[in-house]
Amino acid sequence: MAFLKRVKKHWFSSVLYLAFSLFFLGACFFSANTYSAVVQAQRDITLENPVLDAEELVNGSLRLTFSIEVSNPTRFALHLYTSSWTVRIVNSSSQTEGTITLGTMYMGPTSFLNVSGHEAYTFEFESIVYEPSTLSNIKGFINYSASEGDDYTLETIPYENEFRFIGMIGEFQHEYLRESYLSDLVTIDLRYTSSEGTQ
Amino acid sequence: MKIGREDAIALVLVTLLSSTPIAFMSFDFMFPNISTPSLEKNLLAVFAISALAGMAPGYLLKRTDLAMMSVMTYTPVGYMLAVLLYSAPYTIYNLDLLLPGFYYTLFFRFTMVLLFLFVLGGFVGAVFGSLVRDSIRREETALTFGPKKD
Repeated sequence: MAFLKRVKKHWFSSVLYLAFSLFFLGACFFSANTYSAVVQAQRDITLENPVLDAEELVNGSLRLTFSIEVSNPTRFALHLYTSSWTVRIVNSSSQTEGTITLGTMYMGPTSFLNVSGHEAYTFEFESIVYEPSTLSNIKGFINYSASEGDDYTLETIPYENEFRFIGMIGEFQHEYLRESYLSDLVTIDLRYTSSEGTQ
Repeated sequence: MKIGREDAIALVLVTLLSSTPIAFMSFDFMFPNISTPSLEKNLLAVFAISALAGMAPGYLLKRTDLAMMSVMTYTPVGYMLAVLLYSAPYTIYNLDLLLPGFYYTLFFRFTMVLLFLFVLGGFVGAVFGSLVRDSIRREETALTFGPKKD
């Protein structure tokens, strides 16, 4: 065949051409593999085991603790961007105060928290409610609920609990201002609410 | 333009070999943050690699018209390969695809302009490759049949 003869004659150029092509073929497969793994990570990284505990202290204060696990079964490290936690009581009967906020916590990008690949990290939050005005609001809620037939104590009130975690997958650059889909691709946004569960 | 069996085989081989850089550049243009190595949306680099992809057919194929035609075959093949790579997570891993119409529209919207660069770079490369080939052939002929000096 004339073409093969030509290839043999120009063997050096042909080998270079083949190497050029194979290099990009390898890059294609490597990049597509990374892309697939990132998309899969979006599905596999989850929030697990949310536990809220309320305890009345001897001095009458209320201690609320919340723990939740960020499970990262992927090969990529997960970098914290922000996380926040809020616990409150929703008091729909109150004319003036619909919610009684009992604790909030926020962690920003400067916290440098990383969850390594194939590991899990447990977030633990604590809030102690000691202000007399807040405690009297809670007791008012308990008394009102009792009049409606619901017997609550400080430990058994249905606290509304919200947790949100935003993290970045791996070491991929994500500070794109115009092309937000690139940031979205490597961003994990997980939420937990006591009413709706994990999302 | 007549294409014989030899030409067709050469065209297929060249199409397969030159389509991989086109596929990678299209994919990389879509996801510069996760592809390796990334051109970071550098259009000059895209043009240069397109010219290299076109230069090889221009150099290796005997006919320049065939080399330029190969640009028109490897560019769509490479682009289709990039679409396959782009859909890999959803075809291989069977993940749910949200808004499938929009998903592919986004790819075509972002990378369509690149096709012009691929074709233009390919043509430039093919012509340059042909020129290099002819120049080397002239040099060889001159060395073989040129006047001998005593």
